[in-house]
Amino acid sequence: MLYCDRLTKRYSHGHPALTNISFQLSEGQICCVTGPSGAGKSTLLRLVMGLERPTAGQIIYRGVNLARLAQRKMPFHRRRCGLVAQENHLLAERTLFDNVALPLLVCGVPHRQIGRRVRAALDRVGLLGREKQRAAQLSAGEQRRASIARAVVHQPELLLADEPTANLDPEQSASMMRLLADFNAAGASVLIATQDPNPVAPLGGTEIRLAAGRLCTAPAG
Amino acid sequence: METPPRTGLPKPRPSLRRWVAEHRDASLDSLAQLLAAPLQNALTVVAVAVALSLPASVHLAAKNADQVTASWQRGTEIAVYFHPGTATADTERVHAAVLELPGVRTAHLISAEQVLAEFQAHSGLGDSLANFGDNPLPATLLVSPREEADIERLLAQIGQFEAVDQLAYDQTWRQRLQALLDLGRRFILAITLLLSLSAALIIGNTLRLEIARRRDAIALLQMLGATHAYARRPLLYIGIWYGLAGALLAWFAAHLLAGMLGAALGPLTTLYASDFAPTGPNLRDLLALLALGAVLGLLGAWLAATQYLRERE
Repeated sequence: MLYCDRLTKRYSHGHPALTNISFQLSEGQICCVTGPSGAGKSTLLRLVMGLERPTAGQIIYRGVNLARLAQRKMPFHRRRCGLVAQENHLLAERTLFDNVALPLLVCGVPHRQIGRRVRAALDRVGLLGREKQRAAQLSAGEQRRASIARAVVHQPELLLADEPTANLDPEQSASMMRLLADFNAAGASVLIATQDPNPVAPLGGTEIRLAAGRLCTAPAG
Repeated sequence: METPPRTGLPKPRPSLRRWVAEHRDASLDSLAQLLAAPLQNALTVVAVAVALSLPASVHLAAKNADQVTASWQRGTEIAVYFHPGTATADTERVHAAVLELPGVRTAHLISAEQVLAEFQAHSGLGDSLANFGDNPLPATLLVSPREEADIERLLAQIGQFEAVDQLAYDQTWRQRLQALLDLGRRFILAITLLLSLSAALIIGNTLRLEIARRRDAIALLQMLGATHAYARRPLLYIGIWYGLAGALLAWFAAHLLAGMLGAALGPLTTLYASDFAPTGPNLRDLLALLALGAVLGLLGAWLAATQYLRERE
């Protein structure tokens, strides 16, 4: 499904964020990208999402090399992915419903389906009944769950989660990881970037360990 | 728990219904946002209206000038002077022949006797003319052409009659007037282009502020897979609304101006015994102004939004 081949990313100041990263993610697989802060985990997720281009190497997603994909086609790749970013990126003045409905609007889902699908996603993260609240009125944990609801509402085939448990208490963190595992069990592939040194055990997935932008451990394909 | 399909959403097929729905949502959302901050947006609308009202007013003035000069054109006459002493039968024969010429609206024959009588009545030289034995003044034929374009041909055709001595038609004055009017039209066009450009820039500049306010929302939309067209669409509609509101206000301003000038021109036209009545902007002008406003708004917004989206790439 996803194959990264000798992926390298250097920023304009020359600092290498990733160097020669190769790994493979199969259909329905869950994989954790671990490593300390600055290891290049977020950069890797942004490259897979198509938010940045690699300096060298290939990202083959379903047979298409994202590194060479025309800019005008990139939005259609992003629509197949769901991203739980480090920051929640919720529109503070919009309601929870409006925030979660955004991917469906972007994908052109008919209006009559949007309400049902938004409520289903909110139900999954335990926020059903709060649709009319503005995003700014939600607690940090609720905003994180809203961000997950938005990432999965359009039923992406690949879910990318960047530090999904950051700023959450242990109970909320466990709940968050269960959500991601549930989503994976339902058939989606999941790629999680986390500083947690032992995230795989509860999820039953594979692990890629990064350090200073280089691969330490790659999962068996 | 509802099980999501493994393949995600199918690629959306192009659909007219979806396209219409997206445009309807974007236009209504942007209008609602503008109405939510009426004072802040009113300033932009007034600035656009000022930029549009000047070309609208100048266009109105040109329209009225055309109306006046058209009435002058209608009053154009070729004066045909016969040789002194030409027999009445000959002048009447020429009169009848001229009436048959294509392009002649009317032809009015004034006999030598009538010319003399009018001259005596109006010139104050009646006694002096009485000293002449014969009438020194010729019979005259006043010919009104249908179109300005017919004049050259009519002058040539009428000049071929033997009884005709001279033809009088103030072509130079008319050509000068026409040249001045042409110059005026080009000036108006230049002014309209410049001020239209300024209206587009005003809207574009306002949109830049709006884009700065929406920066996070635009970034989020792009992260979620919005195309440039999708992210740009609400901004384009904001530009169109600014343009339409500014055009409407400019039309009212031109109407007001025409009313004020009409009141001021009333005594003047009475003094000159003219039936000229200035015309204000009509519905057609309103539609043209609205179309111009919408296009300029769209242009200004498109420039600002596209530049921003390209910079983000």
